[in-house]
Amino acid sequence: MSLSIKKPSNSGNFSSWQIMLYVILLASLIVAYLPVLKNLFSVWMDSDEYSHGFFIIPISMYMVWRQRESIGKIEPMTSWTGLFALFATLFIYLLSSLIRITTISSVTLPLCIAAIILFLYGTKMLRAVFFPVFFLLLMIPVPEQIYSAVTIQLQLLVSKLSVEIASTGGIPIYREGNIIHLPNRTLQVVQACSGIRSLITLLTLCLVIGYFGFKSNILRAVIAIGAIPIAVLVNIFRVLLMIVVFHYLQFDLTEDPIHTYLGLLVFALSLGMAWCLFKGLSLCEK
Amino acid sequence: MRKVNNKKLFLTIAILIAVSFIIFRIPENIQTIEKKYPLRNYLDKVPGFQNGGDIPLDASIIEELKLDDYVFRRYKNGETTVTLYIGYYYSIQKVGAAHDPLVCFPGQGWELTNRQTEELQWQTERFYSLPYASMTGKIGQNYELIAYWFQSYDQTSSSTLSQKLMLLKNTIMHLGSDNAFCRVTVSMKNSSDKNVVKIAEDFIKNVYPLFLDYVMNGRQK
Repeated sequence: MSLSIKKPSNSGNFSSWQIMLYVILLASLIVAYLPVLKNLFSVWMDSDEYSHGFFIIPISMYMVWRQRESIGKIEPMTSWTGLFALFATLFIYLLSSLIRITTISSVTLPLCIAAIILFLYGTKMLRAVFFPVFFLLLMIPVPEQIYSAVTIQLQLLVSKLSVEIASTGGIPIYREGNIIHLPNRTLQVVQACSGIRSLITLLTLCLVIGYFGFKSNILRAVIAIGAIPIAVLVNIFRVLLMIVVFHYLQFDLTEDPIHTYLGLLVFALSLGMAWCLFKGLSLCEK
Repeated sequence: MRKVNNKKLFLTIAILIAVSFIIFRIPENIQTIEKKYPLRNYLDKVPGFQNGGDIPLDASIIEELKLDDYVFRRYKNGETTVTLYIGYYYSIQKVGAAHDPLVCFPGQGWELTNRQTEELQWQTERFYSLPYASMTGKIGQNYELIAYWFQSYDQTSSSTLSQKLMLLKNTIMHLGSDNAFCRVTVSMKNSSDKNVVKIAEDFIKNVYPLFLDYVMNGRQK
């Protein structure tokens, strides 16, 4: 008696022709989305808030690569829903490009990738690579209206809480909106000091730490959400430090380059806090 | 990774190539028009208001906003000053160039309150209906009523999203694709000065027919 194991017909090495097809697929996706990619590249280069965008695609690819063994075992299944989703996504892409809604055009890129995966490989594969594909959304700038609305609220929150703490500590101080009045100085918590930049970067980092560090989706969500209060707290600390140092030492921390170094130091502090949160949550997973 | 049916790969590639073809042809088919007259000449005289002089815009701002034409001028009604700004664009390609005041005003230190959307309707030779947004702006001890709308050829809307959807419809139907951002500001004595609302509305009722005439008729291809 002999045993023979029948290999699945679609396993084994790819022929050079099939590899060429995949390369052409990737190239055609890049060409179709070239205006979006050029715009994103330009934003990452010019903007302090989104310079982390350069790292999003490589991190996403690394996330997929880490799963290569389990992904390799998934049997491709045709999903006509995927084809429909592909048409729908590309239709929205064309319309939004016509009327220059760049956010929607950009958002269709990860959606298009998801639709292609769904069409070619089926729902099991899409489920396996769901997080790496939707992680790509983090490379897309937040729409200006939303960005501005969030920034204004952060400016006011940071101004309000830092003034309340300083006042409780006995410092003569009052606030008008985001303008802080000290006896010999007026400070303004402008957009750049709202903490939005560190919030965006910290949120991205916490998502990555959570993805690689935890198996539980709940813990991943907790560390990601935890980025928000951490970013706000360290920014309150920064503004409070400026108030206290100016009041007691007559030293102005708003002048460059001290202001820049302080920003870096405070960001390092936020990273430390995120790391402590990660370590604390790791105990829950054990 | 397991291999996929080659036909599906071919189909996906074909779809993406078709999209590439369309996406790179979009700018070629956008209608661009040239105006006969500078907009500021067309709005030189507004009934009921005296021309209080142009406010110059820096060349860097004109470039930043990608303006094809503009008017930035004060008009006087007794002791009240009304400031009109219209940033005009000849084609849909520049529709994202103007920013919603909700985005740019706070960044310049303005505190915005009382935001609402209204619709102004009036009848002269024809019926006019103008949806617009308004709010009270405060900077230092100064208050201003800020009323603004987005023009999509012969239609107005109070938001950029509506403007873009209207322009999409116009483009598909081969109607005009020129567009503008229009803003009327009136200085207020205090935060609850209600007279300025009537002055702003009177100004809009007088300037808008002139502006609409410019949009519809002051053009050549």
